[in-house]
Amino acid sequence: MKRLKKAAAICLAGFTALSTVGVTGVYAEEANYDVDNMEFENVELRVAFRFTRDSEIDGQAKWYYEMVDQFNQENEGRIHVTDESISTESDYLEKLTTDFASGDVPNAFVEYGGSRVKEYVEAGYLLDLTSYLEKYPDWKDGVQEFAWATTEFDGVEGTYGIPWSAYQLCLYYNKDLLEAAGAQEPESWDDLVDACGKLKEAGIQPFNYSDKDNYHYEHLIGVLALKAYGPEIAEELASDAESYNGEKMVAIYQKMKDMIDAGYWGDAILSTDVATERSMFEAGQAAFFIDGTWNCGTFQNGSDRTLFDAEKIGVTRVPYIDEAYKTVEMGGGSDTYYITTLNQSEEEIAATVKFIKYLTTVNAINQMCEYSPTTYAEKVTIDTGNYLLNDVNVIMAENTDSRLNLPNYDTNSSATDTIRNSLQALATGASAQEVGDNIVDKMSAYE
Amino acid sequence: MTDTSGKRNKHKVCGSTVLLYAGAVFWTFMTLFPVAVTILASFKSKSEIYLNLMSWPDKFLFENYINANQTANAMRTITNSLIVASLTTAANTIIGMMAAYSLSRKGYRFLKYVYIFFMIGVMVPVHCTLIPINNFATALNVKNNLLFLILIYAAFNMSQAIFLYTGFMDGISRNLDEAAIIDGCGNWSLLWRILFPICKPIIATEAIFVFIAGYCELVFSMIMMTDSKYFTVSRAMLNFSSTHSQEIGNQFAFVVMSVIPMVIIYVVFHKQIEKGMLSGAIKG
Amino acid sequence: MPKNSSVHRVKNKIDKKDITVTILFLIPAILICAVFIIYPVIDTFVLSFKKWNGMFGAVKQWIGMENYYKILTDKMFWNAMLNSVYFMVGGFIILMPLAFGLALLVTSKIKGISLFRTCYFLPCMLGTTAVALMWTFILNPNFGVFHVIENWLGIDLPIPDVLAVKTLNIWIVILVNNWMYAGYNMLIFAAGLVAIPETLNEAAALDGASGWQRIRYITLPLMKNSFKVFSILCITGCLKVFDIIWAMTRGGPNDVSSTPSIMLYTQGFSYKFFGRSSAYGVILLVLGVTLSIVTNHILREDKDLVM
Repeated sequence: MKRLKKAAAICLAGFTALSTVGVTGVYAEEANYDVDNMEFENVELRVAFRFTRDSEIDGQAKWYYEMVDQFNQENEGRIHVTDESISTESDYLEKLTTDFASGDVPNAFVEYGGSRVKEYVEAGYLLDLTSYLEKYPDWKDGVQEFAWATTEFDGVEGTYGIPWSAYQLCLYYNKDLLEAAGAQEPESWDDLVDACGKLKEAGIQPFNYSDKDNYHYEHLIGVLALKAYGPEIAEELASDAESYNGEKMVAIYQKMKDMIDAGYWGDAILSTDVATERSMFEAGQAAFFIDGTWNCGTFQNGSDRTLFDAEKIGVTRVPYIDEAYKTVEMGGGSDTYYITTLNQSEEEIAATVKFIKYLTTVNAINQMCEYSPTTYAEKVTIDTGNYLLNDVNVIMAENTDSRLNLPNYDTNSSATDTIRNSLQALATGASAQEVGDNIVDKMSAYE
Repeated sequence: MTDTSGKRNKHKVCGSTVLLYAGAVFWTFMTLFPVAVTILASFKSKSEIYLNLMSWPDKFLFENYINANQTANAMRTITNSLIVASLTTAANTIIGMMAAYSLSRKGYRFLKYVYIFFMIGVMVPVHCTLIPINNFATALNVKNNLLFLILIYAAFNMSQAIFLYTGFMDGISRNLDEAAIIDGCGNWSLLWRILFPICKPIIATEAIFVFIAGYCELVFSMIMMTDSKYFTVSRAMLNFSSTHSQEIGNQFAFVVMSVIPMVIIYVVFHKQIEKGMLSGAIKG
Repeated sequence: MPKNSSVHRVKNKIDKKDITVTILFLIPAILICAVFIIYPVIDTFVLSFKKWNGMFGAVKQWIGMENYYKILTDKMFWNAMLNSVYFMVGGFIILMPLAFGLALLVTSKIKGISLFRTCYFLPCMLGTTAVALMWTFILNPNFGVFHVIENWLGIDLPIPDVLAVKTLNIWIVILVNNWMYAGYNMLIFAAGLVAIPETLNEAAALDGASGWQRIRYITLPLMKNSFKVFSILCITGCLKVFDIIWAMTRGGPNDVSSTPSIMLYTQGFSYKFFGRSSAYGVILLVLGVTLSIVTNHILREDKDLVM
């Protein structure tokens, strides 16, 4: 390892030893952001992400655990990282919430930006990485510009995380089934409705568009609103210039409701989760599947690869409603690492930065992309040979604008959950207007 | 009573026996059917399950079990769960019986309040206690400590145990105690030598419940045990879902694997439970 | 049955040693309950009058009864309470007869009883996660049991998504819950049944009492304690039910299958209203303890209620 600045490092070690419970800023004058050249001694780190240990199918996790082992080996006696990942979302968040309430937080965790993270930032419990990124310009430049949205928060200066995955919503389709029904790859929403009609006539189920994992319909209203009214709709909703029960949004719910009523989205909307929906798509049980770009890798790593291997899956943009906004997409940075400062020592924080940097350089993400070909926040330079990913990259390169999902812009921290819950009512027979009113009612109850 | 002829009576007995069998077989079907579906599913591929859950597997995929064993680290997690469950059951039984003895056999006035104190525990929602207990664990630095987890489980099952044991002991004749005391039994041996054997049926009932609760608990094991060395069965169950996919065939295989030890234990202790229940006839 | 110990207690001076032993026997139980139950309960109680976003070190602002006011005026709370009531109703009209019937079965003299008993207890051994996983798959309209039945019959009707229909979904969860716990409650009743002296039944049979008459006039009155135990466990269990609903419906769609415990969880862990979440906890606790005491009172040993 590099020992050029040994003297400086020993000095720093002395300082950090003195300030075992120090908080960022206490030693601001001596602050050293050069984490790669610091000396560490037996720093124990705990990190809590959502990787699945020993999973056959999760390529990203496989890569990650190899990296953890490698990092621990390289830093033996200096830094040791213990992983505390929990893969299922609600369990993961439950543990994170409990830890933040007790003050015993992991050194780093993963989240997706938005109001949930903002609470932590406002409490001052997350590390502002600005100075570290200035110290390592390559690290900063490795991240695509649009992906930073998950790390920046209105009214707070600074960059509070490192995004590593990126996504946008896409329409996947089964080429054989479309051909059998004489349908084309749809470009506009009307095309899609036509195609669904043809499929249904041919006895093929167009979608099993599920909403048991209730992010699914919330993502869809986001992308449809952007493709009907342009990117400004996100800010308008956040600033209350437009309302979730206003004419514009209700029209979007109505479009979804029409699909449900026509039976195009299947009979088991609320008892099917996305994993099941994907598997049914892979098994030829549905012609379409709308979900994030991460599926490029999931299809390739899954246990049922017949359709993928035969190159029978096609991918295209989610159909537009107003052609003017054809290339406006919902997406951006997704999984983002955040570093905590709550009850952490300076030394721990620096060591965590070192570890997170280790995971998020372009080289590291290149490797991750080989394990699991999907869209990343970093500027990946390798070609994985995954045909879906290649198509997706072409699509993304032509984007004119993009936004994260709508509730991310809302100041009401309960926006995400209320919108997601209320949209489920679409599948239980509620009218579009009722759904909109329900969202607004609930949000005001949690103001 | 009315003068029913012996013949008619016999006929009736036959009829009710048939009814009993019909009922017994019906409920056996009801319980086994979903289990059978699960076992079948544990040998199927993901797409086969999603096409038709109830179909016979095209090919029995034993690799589901191999994958499940790897993903969930089955040997270790099942062993952990068994250890936690057994120790919880032991702690719960011993501590609960001692408390129940005092509550049932001693007549002090303050015991009524102690009883109410315990009864609060029957009603406490787990999620209210999560943050306080986590604070406590952080302060004491006892995360990843099996003993602490066992104490939590014992506490959460304590109220029910005390409730059941006290109720049962109240029904046991005190003549027995007096005879034992005359024979020179102290409190300790009265409890464990005389009352314990009589209480076996209720202990067996409660112990099974506590064992299952300890074996399957998720929330506390997830919050308290962060080191994968200490993962229990339900914590390992989460490993089958990754962020964007779920290996359902493997998960069903692990469900089957994790239930097998329980079934074995139940079958082994079955005789004990029945014996206990028969000895319960002394009661009353 | 001799009951009240004070009657039997020797009325001499209080034996100092005896009281020490009494307390010593209670201490371990009191200690762990105090640490893991009572301390959190006090914490919850205090927090229920405050506003806290779950952030360590953040100010817990005193807001008096506002949390309670918000809850009691929220129609979601009353919907959740209604679901809890359904759970209780299900417990008494489905689970109780079912478990009692099974207990009669497994204590009767028919052959193969230990096999039956093991089968009946099996669902309880699976654990909530596995049970929920199994049943949501079996009930899935796309590939579950209804789909298979339609295939056999050769018809093609739209299959209802039973876990998505308001009220129906909570009853489905109740049925699954009862399916799971029938075996356990069977044990509680069976323990009571075997305690009834065989001679009583034999004497009645000699008198010509039919099976049903024997159950009605001998078994049921002597089983009062078992019914009391069942009632209290059922009431408290139904009030705080969480796992099975969370695993099957997550309280959804759009919160229609929530119970107070689910609301408590989402208010706290999703919306970060920990004060309100605590108020839910206090409401549940008060309700549960009150109902248990009332039940205990109604089903007192010396009161004849069964017939």
